[in-house]
Amino acid sequence: MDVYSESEDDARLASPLATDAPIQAIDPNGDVRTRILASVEQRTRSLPPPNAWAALGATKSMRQVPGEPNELVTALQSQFSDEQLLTAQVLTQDPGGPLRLSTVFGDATSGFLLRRDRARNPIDAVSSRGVLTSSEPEWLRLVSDEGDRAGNHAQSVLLAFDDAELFLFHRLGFKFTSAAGLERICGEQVGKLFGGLPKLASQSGILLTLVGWQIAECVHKPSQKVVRTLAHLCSIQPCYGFDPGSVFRVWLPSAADYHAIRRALAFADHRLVARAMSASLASSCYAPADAMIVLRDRTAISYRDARRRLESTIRDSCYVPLASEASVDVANLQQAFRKSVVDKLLTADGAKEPWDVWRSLLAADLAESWFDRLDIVRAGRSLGNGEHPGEDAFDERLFAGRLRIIDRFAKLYGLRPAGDQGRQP
Amino acid sequence: MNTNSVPRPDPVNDTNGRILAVTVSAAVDQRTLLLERVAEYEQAPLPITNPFGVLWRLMQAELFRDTYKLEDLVRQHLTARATTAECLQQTEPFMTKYLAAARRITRNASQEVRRAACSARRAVSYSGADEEGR
Repeated sequence: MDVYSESEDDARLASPLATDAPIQAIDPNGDVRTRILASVEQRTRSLPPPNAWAALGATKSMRQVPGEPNELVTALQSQFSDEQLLTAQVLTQDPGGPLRLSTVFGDATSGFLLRRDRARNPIDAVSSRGVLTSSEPEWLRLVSDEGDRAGNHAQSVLLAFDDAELFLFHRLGFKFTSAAGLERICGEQVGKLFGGLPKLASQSGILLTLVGWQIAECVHKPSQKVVRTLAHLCSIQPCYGFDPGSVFRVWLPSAADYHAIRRALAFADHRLVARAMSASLASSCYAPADAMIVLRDRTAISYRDARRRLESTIRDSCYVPLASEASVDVANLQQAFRKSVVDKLLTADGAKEPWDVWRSLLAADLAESWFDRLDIVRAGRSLGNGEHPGEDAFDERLFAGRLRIIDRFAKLYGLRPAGDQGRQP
Repeated sequence: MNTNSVPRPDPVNDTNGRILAVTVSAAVDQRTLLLERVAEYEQAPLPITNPFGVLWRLMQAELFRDTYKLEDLVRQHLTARATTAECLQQTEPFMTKYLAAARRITRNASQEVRRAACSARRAVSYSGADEEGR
């Protein structure tokens, strides 16, 4: 498998998504390209991290053209011949037009990443605008190359829609590639992408993962570009009959995942952040169709509506098991519950005294335990795992657990807040 | 409750059947209505949207749903066969749990009422203090 990124840390991240050491591609122009890219590295500056991630610091491989791209072209032409620069694809030329710097490098407002070999020599460049050495989109090539390994331990490859995302995926040690061209994936590419998959494989060996939150700005909703791309991908099924879920995933961190990532970021520890993100990736990735439902439902659904929807899904599953719908409904119910109760308790809204904060945190703990023991939640989760929901059955153990939690919460609620009449309980 | 098992009356002239059907259908309607009321209670706006109060209501509402479920189970056991001492003995665990849930509901309800009264008293005393301050 090809290499998409490399971390500059000596100590590798303990994440299953951590990048492998790169392997030198066999390329007759490799040496020349390496020398050209080394020159590019010298003539460019380090790209600073996005503001929200400033604590992570810059990396040597993430570069930015310092001034006008033409100045870099002139500087490179003084060192290499036009033929060498064109062969290495560092420069491009339209028929009859002037020589231009490859769009992969961008300009002073964007950035690019230098990929390196084991000896840390630059061998390729990648940005949200594409990959220097690949004429066709890399995401397309990756899936085609991995077709024969379909279904075996599918690996997530994050799709970077902008350079800031690319910077962070690289810095945090995730496998990624440029999403260039995905927003307008054409019929021919669809055929190539899905046609190569073995007939019986339910999914490709590579799962191209759209990032459903604005990681660079730390905004817990997807960018318009991702939403448009997702809608386009969902049209593949009705138009061509291929299941986009066999190749694509959408990473939509839950509110708890998002808070965990933010908490980790507050410590400026990229390993901790990477761990929180890996955990979220493992639990909060959805097939495109399901992701559309999650996104639709995330728009301020109340606990009552979420509960009703899950109830109806479980009821309808008596005829046809609606596993994916049940998973989405449970996620939505949990989201609504956390939004209306747990998050407020965790932030201890309005609490000033340590006693009140402690009381609030304790209540948040009880709330989560109680929610997990609800019959409807257990039934939804069973259904989501492809098991019989068993909602009609009465689970005595769960019921006893709920009663215990209710009693504890009643005691806690009955305790006087610290500010109440100025007395400590 | 499984509505598919509702006995159907003779379409011609079965008075007993009709009465039974009306009774069962009334019970179903009443149950739907009760669950609707529980959902309303669950989502009723609180004077102060404190998360403790919201969680309290969600727990109470789920307790109500538990009692309905347990009530159904008891009814199913009692109607499945002739009422005998053995049958009653088998039903006993569900009755015990039903009563435990019902006790929690009433206890929590009185705590909620006390809390509301206490808040109202405090609001009055604060407004009195404001008056004096002016």
